[in-house]
Amino acid sequence: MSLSSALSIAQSALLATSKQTSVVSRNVADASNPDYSRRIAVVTSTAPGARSVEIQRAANDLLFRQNLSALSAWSGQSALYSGMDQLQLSVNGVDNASSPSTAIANLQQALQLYATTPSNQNLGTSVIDAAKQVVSSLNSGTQAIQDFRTQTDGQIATAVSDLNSLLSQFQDANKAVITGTRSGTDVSDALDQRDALLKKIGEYVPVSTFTRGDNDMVITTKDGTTLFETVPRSVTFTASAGYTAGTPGNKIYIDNVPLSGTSDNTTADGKLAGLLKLRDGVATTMQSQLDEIARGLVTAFAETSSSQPNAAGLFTWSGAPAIPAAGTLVNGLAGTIKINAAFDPSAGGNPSLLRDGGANGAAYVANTTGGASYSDLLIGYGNKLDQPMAFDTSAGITVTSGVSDYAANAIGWFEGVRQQASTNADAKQALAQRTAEALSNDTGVNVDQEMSLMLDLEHTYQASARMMKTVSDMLDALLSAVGP
Amino acid sequence: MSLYGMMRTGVSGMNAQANRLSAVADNIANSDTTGYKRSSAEFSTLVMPGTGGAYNSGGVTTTIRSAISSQGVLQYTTSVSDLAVNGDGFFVVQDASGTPYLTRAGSFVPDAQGRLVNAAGYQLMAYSYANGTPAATANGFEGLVPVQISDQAMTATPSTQGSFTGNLPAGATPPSGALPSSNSATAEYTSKSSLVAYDNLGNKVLVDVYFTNTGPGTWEVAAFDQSKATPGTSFPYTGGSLGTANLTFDTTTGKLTGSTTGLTFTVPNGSPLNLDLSKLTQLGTGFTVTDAKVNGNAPSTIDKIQIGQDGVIYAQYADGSTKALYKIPLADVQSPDNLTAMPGNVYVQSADSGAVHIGFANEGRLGSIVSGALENSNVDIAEELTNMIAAQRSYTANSKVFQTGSDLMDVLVNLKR
Repeated sequence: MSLSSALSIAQSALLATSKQTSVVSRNVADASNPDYSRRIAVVTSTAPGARSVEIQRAANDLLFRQNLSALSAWSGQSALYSGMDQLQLSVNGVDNASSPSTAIANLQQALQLYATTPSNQNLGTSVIDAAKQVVSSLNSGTQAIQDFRTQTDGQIATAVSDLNSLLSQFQDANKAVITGTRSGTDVSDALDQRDALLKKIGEYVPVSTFTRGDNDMVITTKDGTTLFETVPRSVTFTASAGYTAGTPGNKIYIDNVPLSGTSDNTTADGKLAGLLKLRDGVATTMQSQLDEIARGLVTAFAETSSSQPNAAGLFTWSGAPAIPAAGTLVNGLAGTIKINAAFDPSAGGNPSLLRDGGANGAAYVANTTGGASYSDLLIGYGNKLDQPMAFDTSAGITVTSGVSDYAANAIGWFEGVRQQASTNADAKQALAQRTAEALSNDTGVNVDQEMSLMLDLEHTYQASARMMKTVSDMLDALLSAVGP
Repeated sequence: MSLYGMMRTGVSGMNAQANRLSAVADNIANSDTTGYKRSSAEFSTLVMPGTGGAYNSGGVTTTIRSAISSQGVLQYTTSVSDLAVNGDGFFVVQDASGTPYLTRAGSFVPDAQGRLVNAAGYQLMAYSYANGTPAATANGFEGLVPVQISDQAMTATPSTQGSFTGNLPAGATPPSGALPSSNSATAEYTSKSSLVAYDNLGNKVLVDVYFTNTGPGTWEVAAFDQSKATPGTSFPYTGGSLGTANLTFDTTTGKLTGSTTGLTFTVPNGSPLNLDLSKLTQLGTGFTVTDAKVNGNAPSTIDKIQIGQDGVIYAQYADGSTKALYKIPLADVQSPDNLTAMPGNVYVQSADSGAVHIGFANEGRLGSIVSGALENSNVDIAEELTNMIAAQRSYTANSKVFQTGSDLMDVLVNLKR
C-alpha cells in the first residue's frame, strides 16, 4: 500500500458515500409516495482500490400481489355499491317516498275510502289520482333504470378506454424495465412506475402476473385471458346509444374473449365487472320487478264478465283490452302502463265506472241495478291487491304474493342486496387498506431509519475526508523535505 | 589505484544518479497517465582488475526496469468504453499505419468512423462476430480487426422457439359447438391465450392459441393469426388455422402424456415455430398461464454498446435486446517487464520479453476486462519523492568524491613549484 493508493481509495470512498447519501435523500423525498419502494445502497468492493455502489429496491412480491388483488376487489365492490346507492335514490326516492310500493298503499287507502261512501264522486276522483301516482311512479322508475343503464354503459366505455391507455403506458414502463435490466442500469424508478400502473390496471380488472427473462412482465386476467404480453392486447367495447327494458348490454372483450363476472349479485372483482353487474344484473332485475308490479296491477284491476274474457280496467297497457298472460314477464310493461281514459275525468272519462264496471262494454257492468251505494266491486279490487298471484321467477323474488306485498318485497330485496354490497365493500376496503399498510411497512420508507443511516454516512464521509487531509499533510511533509 | 580512476568513478556515480533522477522525473510527470507503468533505475557494479595491494575503483552501470506487470489502482468512470484490465494482459491496439501494439491505457472513445480510439490515438483491435463466435489466434495478430461500431445495420430475428406453461382446468366440459380447428363461425373453445411472435422482417405477429377440451383428459390446441380474425366473433379466421395439436393428460397425475408435447406452426411470413407445451398440466383449478416465452426480436437501431467482463462488445438495440459484435482479446508475453516501451503507453515485444500470445479475458492467467473503469498509473508519489531525495544525496556525495579527487590533483600538481 502506498500513499497514492491510500489517496485513491479515500477518493472512491467519498464517491461511494456521496452516492449512498443521494439514495437516502431520494428515500426521504419519496417517503410519502405510496408507489415508492425503499432503495438500499449496497457497497461492494471489487477491483483493487475501487468500490461500487449497487442500488437495490425493497420488494415483497407476495404482499404486492395480495394488495393488487385486494385493490381490485375493493374497486369493483365500491363501483357496485355506489351505483346501487344512485339507483336506489333515483328509482325509489328518499326513504322510498316515490316507490311504487308507497303509491300502491296510497291507492289502497283511497279505494277503501271510496268503498265506504261509493256515492261520493269526489272520492272516486281521488282514487283515480292515486292510480295516476302509481302509474307515474312505475313510468319514472322505468325511465330512471334505463337512464341508469345508459349512463353505466357510458362509464364502461370510459373505463375501457382508460384501461387501454393504462396498458399502453404499461408497455412503455415495461420496456424501460427490460432495457434497463439488460444493460444493467438501475431500474428502480421504472419498476416503481410499472407497479403503480399495475395497481391502476388492477382496479379495472383482477389481474395475475408473471415475469419472464429480463424482468419482462406478462399480465393476464384472473381467468387466464392475456392482457399484456410484449404488447398490450386490445380491450374492446361498443357503447349502446340507449336502453329499453329487456335490451341486453354489449359485452367487453379482452383479447377477443368476453369478460365474465361472478353470478353473485352483490360482489364484483374489478371496476369493469362491477359496472357490468350494475348494468345487466341489479338494474335489469329491478326493471323486471317493476314490470311484474305493473302486470299485477293490470291483472288485479281487470274487468270481469261471465260471458266475455277478462279485459284491462283502470290500468291499461299496449296490449289492451287483453290481459297479460299470467306468471309471465312482459318486458317494459312498467314503462307503458297507463290509466284507462274511460275512468279519467281529466280525459273526459267517468270515475264511477270503477264502482259500476263496464268500461269495456255493457257485458262488464257489475252494478246492474245502478245503485249509488254499490261497493262490491270496489271492495273486490281492494282484496285483489292482496290476493296471492303468480309472478315470473326471473324477477328474483317471491313467485306468489299479492301485488302490494310484491312491491314491498321488491324494496326489501333491493335493500338486502344493497346492504350485502355495502358490507362486502367495507370488508374489501378494510382488506385493501390492511394489505397496503403491510406492503408499506415492508417496502416503504422509514424516515427514522434513513436519518440514522444518514448520520452513519456523515461519519464515514468525515473519516474519508480526514484520511485525504492526512495523506495530503504527509505528502506536504515529504515535499518540504525535498525543498531547499 | 589512481586519482583519475577515482574521479571517473565519481562521474559514473553522478551519471547513474542522473539516470535515476530522470526516471523519477518521468514517473512524477506521468503519475496521472492512464496505464503508465513506473520505471526505476537499477544499478550494478563495474569492477576493474586490481591486485591485493592496489585497488582500482570501477564504476556503476544503470539498467532501467519498468514495473509493467504491476497492477495500477482502478478508478471508475462513467463511460462504458473506458476499459481496464484487472489482472495480467494487454489490449491489442494498432496505430494509423496498422502496426499492432500492446497497451493497458483503455480510455477509448469512438472516432468519426466509429472506431474505438484511446487518448494516444491507437485503435482497439478485436475479433468480429460477423462469421460466428470467434476463436483467438494464439500466436499472432491475425484475424484481429479494429472495433468499429457505426457500420452495424439493423437486424431482426424471426421466432423459432417458444414455450407455454400453465394449467388447463380439469373440470372443463367439452363445448357443444364445433372445435376451433374446424374454423367454423360457430366454433367454441374452453380457454384462449395469445402470444407475440416475430416474422422474418421482425414484424410483431399476434398468435391466438385456443385450448379446447374434447373429453376427459384430452385437449385440442389450435393456433391462429389474430390479424386474420373476423371482427367481433374471431371465427372464422381468413386462411384457417396455423396449426393444431391434440394433447392427452394423465387423469391421475394431471401431467401431459402421449407423444405430442408441442405445437409446430409457421409464423405468417416467418419461420417454423416450435411451441413447447410439455409443462402444461391439467389440474382442478382454473385456466392459468404461469409462463409464456417466444424468442425473436423486432428490428431496431443500436442504442449503445456494452462490454462484458469477458471482453465481448454487445450492441444494445433500442428495444433493449443485445447482440455480440466483437470480442476483445488480451495479449500477454512471458516477461511483461521486459517489453519495450514506445510513446503513447504502448509496448512492443522485445527479444527478452518472449513472444506475444493472445487469448480471451479470464482464460488462464489473463485477467478480466472491466468496463467503465481506467487503470491509474502505478506510480507512488511518496516513493518517487523519497527516491529523489536519496538520488540528490547520492549525487552530492558522488560530486564530493569527484571534488576530492580534483583537490588532490591540485595538491599533486602544486608539489612542483
